[in-house]
Amino acid sequence: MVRFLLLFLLVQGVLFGVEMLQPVQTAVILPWTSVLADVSGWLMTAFDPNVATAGKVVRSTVNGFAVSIEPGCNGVEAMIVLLAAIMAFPAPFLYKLTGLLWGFIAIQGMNLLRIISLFYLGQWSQALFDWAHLYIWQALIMLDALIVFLVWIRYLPGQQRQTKSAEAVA
Amino acid sequence: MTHKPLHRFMLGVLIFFPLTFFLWYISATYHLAPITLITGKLVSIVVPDALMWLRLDGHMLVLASNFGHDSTGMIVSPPVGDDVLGFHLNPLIYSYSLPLLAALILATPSARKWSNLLWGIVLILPTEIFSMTFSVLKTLTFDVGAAFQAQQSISSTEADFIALGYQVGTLLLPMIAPLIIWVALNRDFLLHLAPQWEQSFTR
Repeated sequence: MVRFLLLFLLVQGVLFGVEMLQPVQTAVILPWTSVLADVSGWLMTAFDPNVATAGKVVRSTVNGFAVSIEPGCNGVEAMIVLLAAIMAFPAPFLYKLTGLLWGFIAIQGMNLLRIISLFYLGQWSQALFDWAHLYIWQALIMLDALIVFLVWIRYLPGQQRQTKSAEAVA
Repeated sequence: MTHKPLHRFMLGVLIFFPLTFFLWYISATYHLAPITLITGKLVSIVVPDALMWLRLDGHMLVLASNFGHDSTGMIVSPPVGDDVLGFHLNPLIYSYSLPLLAALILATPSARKWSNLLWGIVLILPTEIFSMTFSVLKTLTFDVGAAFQAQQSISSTEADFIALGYQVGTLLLPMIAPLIIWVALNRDFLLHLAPQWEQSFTR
């Protein structure tokens, strides 16, 4: 337990440190944030033609309302936490990669939902936008990462056999 | 322990998440009060003469500094007039770790649910104090600015450290702390979920 927590904190510390470096921000984080804006804009245009994107900004062409995707809203922090947890946990390397891939899909899928929902919430009510943006979605994204991790450890190779043996003994 | 612990846990989270967030928001004045009190004392020790008082106004934190404007509009200390510089801060942006942790603990099948909840509240308190302290220090360092930095002899490295503490306290800690505390308090549930983990616990 202590070993897992220490490794988990160490990997997180290193990755968050790397993430904050200016070259990493310029080369990875900002382009990734722009990709998120483009993808969410593209998804929204499927049902709403009045959406335009520029860099990390998604804008309504009807009323001018815009959201800018800032650090903390691009799912990178949640990915780092999940990556640290998976790396710190003893499991086959290939299974770790599978977990990271599914985690990436789950977190970024949820993050796209966050951006799209906030874009429309903001046009409807500023108070609701603030509530969802500052509190609810932050917690939901971390919850998403936690659920992915729990499902991942639940289905570790060899896990089912051990669980069944334990139940048979009980 | 239940036959499908993960399903039960996820269902529990769905039920408790809105409930704990609702309770957290309407009771903000009460659960933020001890944090505000301790932070006020702490900041007064760390940067003496900079803070006049720190109080809650509903769920908003009001910071009254010991700085004011002179006749030319420059920020000075001590203030020349009656008016001092005050700031409104939103402590809920880092305090949401409390309802998140409470929802996780209440959703976890455990015989020690209520004692875990009590421990969780106690353990999350220092993280909230950390976040609020750096939020106040960041406001004084960068919003009051040069006058505060000169009064307290704050170097550019120390200002960078305060900025980093603020980033950690508002962006990272509220997300990570509930998960770490929850893992630490729910060893049995995690072992039931993944018996293989026993090996790593015993190492």
